[in-house]
Amino acid sequence: MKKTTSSPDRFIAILLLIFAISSAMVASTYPINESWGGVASAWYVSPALLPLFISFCLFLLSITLFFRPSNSVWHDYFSGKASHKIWVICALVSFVYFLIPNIDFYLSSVLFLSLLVGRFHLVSDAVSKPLGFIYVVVCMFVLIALGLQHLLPLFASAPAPTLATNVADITDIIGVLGTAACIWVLHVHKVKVFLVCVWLPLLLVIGFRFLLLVPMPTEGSVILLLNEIFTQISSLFVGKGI
Amino acid sequence: MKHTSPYKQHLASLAAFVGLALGILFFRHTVIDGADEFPSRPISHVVVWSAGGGTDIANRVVSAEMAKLLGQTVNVTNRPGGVAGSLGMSYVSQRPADGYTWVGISESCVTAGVMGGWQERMDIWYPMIIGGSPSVISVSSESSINSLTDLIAQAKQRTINAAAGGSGSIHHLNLLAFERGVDAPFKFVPFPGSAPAQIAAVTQEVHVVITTLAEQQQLISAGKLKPLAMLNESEYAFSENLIIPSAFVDFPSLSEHLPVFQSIGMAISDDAPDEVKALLSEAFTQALQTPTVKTWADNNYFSLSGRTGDAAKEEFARLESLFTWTLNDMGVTKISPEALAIARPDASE
Amino acid sequence: MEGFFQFSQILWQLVSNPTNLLVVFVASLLGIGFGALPGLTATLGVALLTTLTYGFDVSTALLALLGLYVGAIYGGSYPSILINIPGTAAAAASALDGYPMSQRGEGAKALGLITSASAIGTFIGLLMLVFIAPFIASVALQFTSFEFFLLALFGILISGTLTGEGGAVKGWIMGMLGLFLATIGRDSLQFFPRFTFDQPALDSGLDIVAVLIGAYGIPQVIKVLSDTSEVKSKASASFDSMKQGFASVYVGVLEAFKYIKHVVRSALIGVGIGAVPGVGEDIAGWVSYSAAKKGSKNPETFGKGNAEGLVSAETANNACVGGAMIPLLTLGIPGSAPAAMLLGALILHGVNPGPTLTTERPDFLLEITAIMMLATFAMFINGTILAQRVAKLLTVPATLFMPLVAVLCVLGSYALGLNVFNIYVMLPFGILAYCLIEMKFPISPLVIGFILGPMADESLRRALLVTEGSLFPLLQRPLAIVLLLIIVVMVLSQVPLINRMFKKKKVVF
Repeated sequence: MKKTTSSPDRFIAILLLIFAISSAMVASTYPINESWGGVASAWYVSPALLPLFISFCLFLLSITLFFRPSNSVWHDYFSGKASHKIWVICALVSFVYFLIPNIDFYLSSVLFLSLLVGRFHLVSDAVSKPLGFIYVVVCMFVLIALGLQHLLPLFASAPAPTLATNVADITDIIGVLGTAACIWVLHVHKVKVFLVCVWLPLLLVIGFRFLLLVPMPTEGSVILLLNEIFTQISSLFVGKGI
Repeated sequence: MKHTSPYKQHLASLAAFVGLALGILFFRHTVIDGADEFPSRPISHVVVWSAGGGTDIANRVVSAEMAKLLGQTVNVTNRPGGVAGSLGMSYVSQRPADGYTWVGISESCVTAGVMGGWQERMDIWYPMIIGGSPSVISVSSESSINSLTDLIAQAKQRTINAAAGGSGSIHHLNLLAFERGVDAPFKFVPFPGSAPAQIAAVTQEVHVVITTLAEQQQLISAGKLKPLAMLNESEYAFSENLIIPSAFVDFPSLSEHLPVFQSIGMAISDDAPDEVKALLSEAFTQALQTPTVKTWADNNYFSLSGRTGDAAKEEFARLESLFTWTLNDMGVTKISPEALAIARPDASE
Repeated sequence: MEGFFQFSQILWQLVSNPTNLLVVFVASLLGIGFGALPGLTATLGVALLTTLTYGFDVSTALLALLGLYVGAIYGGSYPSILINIPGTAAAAASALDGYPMSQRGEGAKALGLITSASAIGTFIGLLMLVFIAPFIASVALQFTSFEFFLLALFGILISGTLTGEGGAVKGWIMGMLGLFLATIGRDSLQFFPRFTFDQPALDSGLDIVAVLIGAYGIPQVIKVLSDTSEVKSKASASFDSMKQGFASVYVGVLEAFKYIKHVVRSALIGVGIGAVPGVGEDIAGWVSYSAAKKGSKNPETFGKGNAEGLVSAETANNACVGGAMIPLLTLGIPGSAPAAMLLGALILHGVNPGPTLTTERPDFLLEITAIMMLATFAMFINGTILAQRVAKLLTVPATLFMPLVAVLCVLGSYALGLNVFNIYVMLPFGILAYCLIEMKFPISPLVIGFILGPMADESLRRALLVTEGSLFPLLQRPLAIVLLLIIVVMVLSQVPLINRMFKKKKVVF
């Protein structure tokens, strides 16, 4: 019985209960009888109808879960090493919130891929540590560059757009150098690793950018270079009209 | 071979990579295209509504013809999302104003500003209007209502449910204007688009539906919908034995409020060079004259407008004022049209 | 008979042109790729090909478009089976049994099975289209707002029931959370901003692809990478089975015929659901899967690599293609999102699908049938050949493969809406989803709830708006009563509380 009282299911049930009550509270502030959006209103067309219904169901379900939890304990649920999980999550978070908005998409993918492949695939290998080191250094430099972008206007009189361009150039150079370092570290390695970390992202970027016409989140030196090449090639084939 | 000089091989490619990347980086600010004659590279055409819809098709048909006339490829992509197409419009407005990025828009896009989608008005565009399909009011073919007078008489006695697309759509505005013109109340039932609204009329979930003729044509010819009247001044010969009368005949007061006409079109940034604007307007006008576009328009009950330049700007300004103020009066706007310096339309005074 | 003669003539005309064959095979291959990559959808593929095929004549363009459409629905199951990340929401039900099969080392066989199942499913859908299209279209038109609401509720509950381990409570909780996520943004009826906290980026709601990838992709990446040791043994296990010969793909292809009962039933379900406008592949797989489980003698093997479940889910979502074409061709109403794009493409080529089609272009229905048949054939051939190559991917160590999947997930969640905000939403959501999955909360009901949420929300409110708040008209509609009864029976039969109280008397409170 002691096992059941500390069940993680109960913990989740309480969280859900709080969630259900708070969402019901937010939803109850929505217009219920007054007209909104040109639709003659009443309780049954209120935008609060479904949220309240959901809150009610969640309320019932979480109470059910609280009183009838499964017999599992935390250890049954989160198996495996916690450090590994936190590691992957940190890598993903830094990639998404840090590299992608600031560094050319190709470059950031190479950096990210080498980091993960180095950590999880080449586990015992000597390159695993340098790759992690490069990643951290790049992140730090980007942080400094961004910090400068926000701090400099306080001291210098340079107009903001110029500063932004300069910072973009600086982060771009950091990206290129970091990627070059990764390639340098990886180059003695197996063909497969090199393929996954360096060539496949390139193929991916070319496919999305030029075949599916999806502009990349951040386009820095590599993608601009590719773009220039593709423009030149396509202009060879397309004639002129009018 | 593999084991002799892996270092040297990779060193070379590494150097080449870094060199190229840095090279392009330092020159990229100067590389921006020189004095090439206008369409020297492919044009990208961003439609702000999803693929397969009315705006998308009209834009694709016309831009395909323009591509032939300009001798340059036009890549049509869809970028729906945001509020009233704001995502696609703000994307295009941030591209260089060189005429290489077009945006495909419709009349509903004018509400993006007041709905909080972006901070711009429609005057940042240089629009070219393809046209639109006239609005028509219809009932299910099994309905007991047989004419517009019938409908109005009933609307004055009992609740008539009316479907007209989503809240604040062109069809909704038509319905509001229609209500004012005939002085009878309708209960507006919103649907996420024209197609579900029409199906609801067929299944008699609602009594009447207002959408465009283009959208209703299949259901009318299938005998599922019974058109009552056109919501503009002229009657429409739908087929040999079906002439849809104008609503203005029985209710002349409608002319004070209607028509609110659909305006599908494309636009480039208003800051584009004048010669680019002129060239594109010319290509656009010619494209609308081609048999392909004309046949398409005929088959789809679409009337071509062809307005460009100031005339088109005026039309969008009129729609902007009408839409934004109507929405404002319904109380759904996030930003008042006044804050965006949009004048109140004359008709509603 | 004359019709059949005419049909073979049209088919022969199409086949005898080598360009056509090339087009359909390339398009089908492309479609499989679009389906398999998370974030690329059949709708996007059809949209892109529409532009590319604008210059072609109608039948060639249609070969390309339908080839891609059929291929994409099929291709979505590849990643569900191989790495437990459905490429599209439609393939989520296929992962339930497909992934356990490939973990057992039967990945190649599973791929073979779905190849046959998809081909037969599409083909049956096609037969329905030819023979009883008007009948199905008229039934599909019986759906009003009440029925749409009940259908949405049914879809959410059924996926919750099917996936919840040890009772449906956890599944239903996830379904409700999915519904909640769907309410974020401006509501489609009145434009009222719900749970947006004054963030303009949230106004249009959460992006469906971002939620899909967050729910399936990110948790799997975290899980597989952090359980490195476990994965390595798995990879080698499947590698051993791979060595036994790639013939297992063919074994699977042939074995599908053993389940012909399931195939036919699932295909009928698929066609029916596909024909209803606005509902499509997403729930067809679930409904069919549940029907298979209900009818099975040993339902406990479902979810543990039961081939019947896989075949049922997979047949149904492909049969939807034929179903979606029915209202499109008979009334000009598209039955699903890719079909809506197809409608646009047809109009672009001067064909107006709808009732007038038979007078304007009398041969068109036969032509489309022939085209779809070719598309199915191309998918089958491509699938059989490709399945062998793709099954080899299992021999690539997951530690090398998963980082790339992570990059694909990020790019995929961004690419459709071209909005970086989607990535920002996708990741935290993915991490949350990972925690919930680890705590044995099934993720699929959440996705289904999210997809069907808007429909449930606005249908219910609209129905009540029309009836002025009265539920009585619901009881006058036969279809609604049937749906309601199914839901009530399902809920009652699944209430674990009641069942256990009566059976075990081991109550805690």
